Amino acid sequence: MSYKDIIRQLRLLPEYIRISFLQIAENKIQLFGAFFTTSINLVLYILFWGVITYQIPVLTGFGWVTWGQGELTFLIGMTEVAWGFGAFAWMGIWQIHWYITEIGIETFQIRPAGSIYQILATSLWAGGLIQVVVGGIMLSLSVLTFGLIVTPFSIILGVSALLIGQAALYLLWSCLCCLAFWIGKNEGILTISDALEYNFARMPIDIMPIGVQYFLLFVFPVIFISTVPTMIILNLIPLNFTLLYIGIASLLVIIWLIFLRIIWSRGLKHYQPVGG
Amino acid sequence: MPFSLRLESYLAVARISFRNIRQYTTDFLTHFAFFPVQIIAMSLVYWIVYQQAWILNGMTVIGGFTFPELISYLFIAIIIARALPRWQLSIEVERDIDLGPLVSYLAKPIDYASFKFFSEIPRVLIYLLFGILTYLVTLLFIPLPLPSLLNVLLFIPFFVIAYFISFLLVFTVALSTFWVYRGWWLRNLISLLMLMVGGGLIPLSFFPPTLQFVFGLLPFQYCYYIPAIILQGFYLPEQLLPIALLSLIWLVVLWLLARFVWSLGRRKYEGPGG
Repeated sequence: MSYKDIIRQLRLLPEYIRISFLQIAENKIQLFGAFFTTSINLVLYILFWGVITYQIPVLTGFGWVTWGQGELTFLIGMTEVAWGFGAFAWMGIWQIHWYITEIGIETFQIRPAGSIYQILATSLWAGGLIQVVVGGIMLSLSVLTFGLIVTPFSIILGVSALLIGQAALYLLWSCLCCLAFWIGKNEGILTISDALEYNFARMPIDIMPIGVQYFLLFVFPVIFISTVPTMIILNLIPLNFTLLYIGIASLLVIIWLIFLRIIWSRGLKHYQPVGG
Repeated sequence: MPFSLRLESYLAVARISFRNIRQYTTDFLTHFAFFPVQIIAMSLVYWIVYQQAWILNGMTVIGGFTFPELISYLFIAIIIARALPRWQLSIEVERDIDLGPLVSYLAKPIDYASFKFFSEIPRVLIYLLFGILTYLVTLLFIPLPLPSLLNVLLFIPFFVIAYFISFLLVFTVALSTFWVYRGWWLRNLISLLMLMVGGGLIPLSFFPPTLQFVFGLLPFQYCYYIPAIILQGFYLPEQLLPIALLSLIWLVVLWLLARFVWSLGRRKYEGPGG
């Protein structure tokens, strides 16, 4: 793909985003639903960590960070922000295996844009931004209530780590979805990935044993969903570690992007469209 | 239609559902990976909590649970939570109403709710079976408490009640599709409440007393918390009668509510096309 192709495809993006907003505006109750569920979700998880800190005031484990109620509340807000952005930008990865096995990818193939890009862009879900807003409010409240220290610089670094890390995670996930070219329906594999993300994203991974931390950093980088951005934004780790995390995330993005291109092109050779 | 014939047709539904599961065996089996992942994630956090409680206060028991008891509780609660109807049923009902297949169910001499109820049973039993196997395999590596035969026998009726209650909760919420287009957020909400307030992630005894009292008034605890602690033997058999009565009252209330919502929804439902 040439530089011009990439620019041409990116020019389509605002249009896809506009369509996504129009779709969500058609059914406003969904916006309310997203707001309502996110808020309840936050309350329930604050309750969860509240119950834990009711038993012991702070959590320290194998990392250096001490997680009190403030940091844990911030972590929950961060998870919602990350998942909200994920729902907005990356919802389409759930559709990849479905397009391969049931709908067909022929319609994407005949258009002058990358198929995965089209799947992702047509599945943009503006409702996810509600989750980002609610999560953002939660972050602000936790900063104000617990007197947490944040700086504009730490926010920029934290958000960068989140976006790059999330891209790494979801590119890996896209590769798993593309296995549908060979093994057909593979929701089970996605369930495993989902289980890993769902269960570990809300946890301060920093307190876990080193082996688990490495696994969730290099193999399945869930650590970038909430733990790393929280540690960076709240200035809980030194700058050199922040840069190291961002570097690792960038490297993972490159690796999984290359893998995705290889898997997709090989999968296409294996793909047989049926029907008409 | 005579009852025996009706029962036979619903059992046939369960058989077909079982065959559908077998069609995608590998895919179905990989779903079980959720058990260990969830248990490992939760156990790691609780391990740190117990370690620190021991270091700070010399505590080995939190909320009435020692660490092995808590891991055993999480295991059982997560197995029950995975087995009982939640997402799948809700999505199916929503799709039937939204996209139109409900019309064909209404034209058949069967009750839609009963059809869904029976078609869920094989999935529940298989999940339960695999959950038990996972627990037994884990016992080879980690010394977790093993439930007594009496507790297993006491657990069975409460698990059946839990199945009824969770089915009715999920089914009734899914019926909201009659009025709310794409009510995924209601589905999320009920699922979250079942998990958190029902003791799927944390035993209710960990909560402060006021919250324990409030959550005790709701039906969610009968889904996961109560069956799990009965299996663990936290209750004496004579303590179970009032709990059984309350859970049955909730079951009847939810059944009446489901019937009411269904009758209202059917009146509103329009299935155009052909």
